[in-house]
Amino acid sequence: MLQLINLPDIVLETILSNLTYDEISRYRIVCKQFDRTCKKLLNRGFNLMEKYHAQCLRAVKSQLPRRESERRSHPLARHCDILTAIETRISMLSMTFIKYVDLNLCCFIPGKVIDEIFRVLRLIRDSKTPPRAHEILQELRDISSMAMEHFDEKILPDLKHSICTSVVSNVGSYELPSGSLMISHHTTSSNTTLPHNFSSEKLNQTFKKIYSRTKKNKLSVLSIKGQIGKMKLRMKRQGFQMRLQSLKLQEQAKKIHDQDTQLAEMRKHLEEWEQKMVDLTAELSRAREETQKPDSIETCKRKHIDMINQRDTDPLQTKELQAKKRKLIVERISSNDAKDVKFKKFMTDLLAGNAIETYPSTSH
Amino acid sequence: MPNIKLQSSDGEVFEVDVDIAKCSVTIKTMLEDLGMDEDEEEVVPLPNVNSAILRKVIQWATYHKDDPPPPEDDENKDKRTDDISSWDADFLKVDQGTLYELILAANYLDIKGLLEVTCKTVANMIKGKTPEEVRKTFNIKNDFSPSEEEQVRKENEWCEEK
Repeated sequence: MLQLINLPDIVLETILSNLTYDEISRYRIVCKQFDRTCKKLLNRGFNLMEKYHAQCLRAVKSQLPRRESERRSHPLARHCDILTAIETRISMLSMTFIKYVDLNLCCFIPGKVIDEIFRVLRLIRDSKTPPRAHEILQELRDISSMAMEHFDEKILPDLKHSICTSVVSNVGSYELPSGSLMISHHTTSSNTTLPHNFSSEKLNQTFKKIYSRTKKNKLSVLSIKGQIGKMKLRMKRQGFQMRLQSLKLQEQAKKIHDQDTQLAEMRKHLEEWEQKMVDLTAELSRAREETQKPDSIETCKRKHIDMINQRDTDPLQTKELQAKKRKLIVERISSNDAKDVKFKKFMTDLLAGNAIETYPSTSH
Repeated sequence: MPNIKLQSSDGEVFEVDVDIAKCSVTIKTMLEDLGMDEDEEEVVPLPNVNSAILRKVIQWATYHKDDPPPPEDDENKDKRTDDISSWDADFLKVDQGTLYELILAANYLDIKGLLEVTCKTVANMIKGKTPEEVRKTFNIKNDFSPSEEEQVRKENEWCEEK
């Protein structure tokens, strides 16, 4: 005979979805198939509830006025308060459970909380004046806190322990930095090797990247060093040229200094000459003045006469001298006789004496 | 009224009103997609449904043929299992095997109303029972290891009365 447990999963899901979430959570223990189906239904229930709440909140908020003061007196104000309070509860529940639900480590355990939230949501949807927030939410606050506390205190340590042991058994002494990484190693054995391989591959890749980057850095450092060497060499050359230039400059400066002194000397000479010129012009002008005087004609005449006299005496003397020269030319016939040598000497002495005696007489 | 011939897995042919047959979304879609001629003597084979179950299904569909179309699926509506009509309740006073076969047939033929009511009936059989009673009622073996069972028990401990 066909058994309930042999029905397809989808059918069992449809059957069990007719139960409240509280009942669903309590029937998990019937058997493994019930457990699987109920877990699925609970997780789906939490999502549905979240979605339904968001929908309700959106619907209420769209009807509320935008101004805070008007909102407070609006008939839907209390709806909004309650929905906001539920939102906080949902996010707390989500923070507690959903991380582990997503990792497939557990399901959303407290089915009763889903029921309660659905109850409150339906109640405020249907009633125009719902009771005060703290009244209607009392039960939800109590049970959700109980569920979360129980999970944190009783369930989570075991979960973490099982995660750790599974990691240790699978990875050995491999140390993982954070719990979240550890969690990814949990679940089934086929899944455990995959993330580990993936992470080591990733590590290898990053190591390769780092290695290639250091290589590149080394290369660039080398090239920069070469450039620095070149620059230093160029600096040296520049310094040498600079020294040469400065030497040349010094030379030039010395030359300029010398030229300056020469120029100064020349100027001094020029000034002396100018002074002389001035003296001479002064003398010249004095002389002109003298010539322009009436008695100056006589002196001039006298001078003139003197000049003429000199000219008259000169031809006589020149005639004598010419005669003497002729004599000497005659006597120049060379002979080595003692008499001749004596005579020559005598003649030259005589000529020299004559020349000295006659020359002064002409100048006077 | 045009008729359609449905053949069960064990070869029996049922001639039914097309409108009744169209309770089944599977048959309805098939007729629409294939555009079967109304006067055709074609037989639609239903290999997943035996004659006993098919007869029951046709009986249910005939009774409910004038029902208003089911409301759009509202996932957020309150779950109720106490809204089974007395006719349906009487109709479903069958053994578990037949009930499951009906469920499978309703699932296969995609008859929403029948699937709902049958599943609710099973759900009502579960409701109010302890897990152990559920196991007994449905002949289920507890296949948890002691530690697994302890884990589930511990997870649900939070709301137990003390």
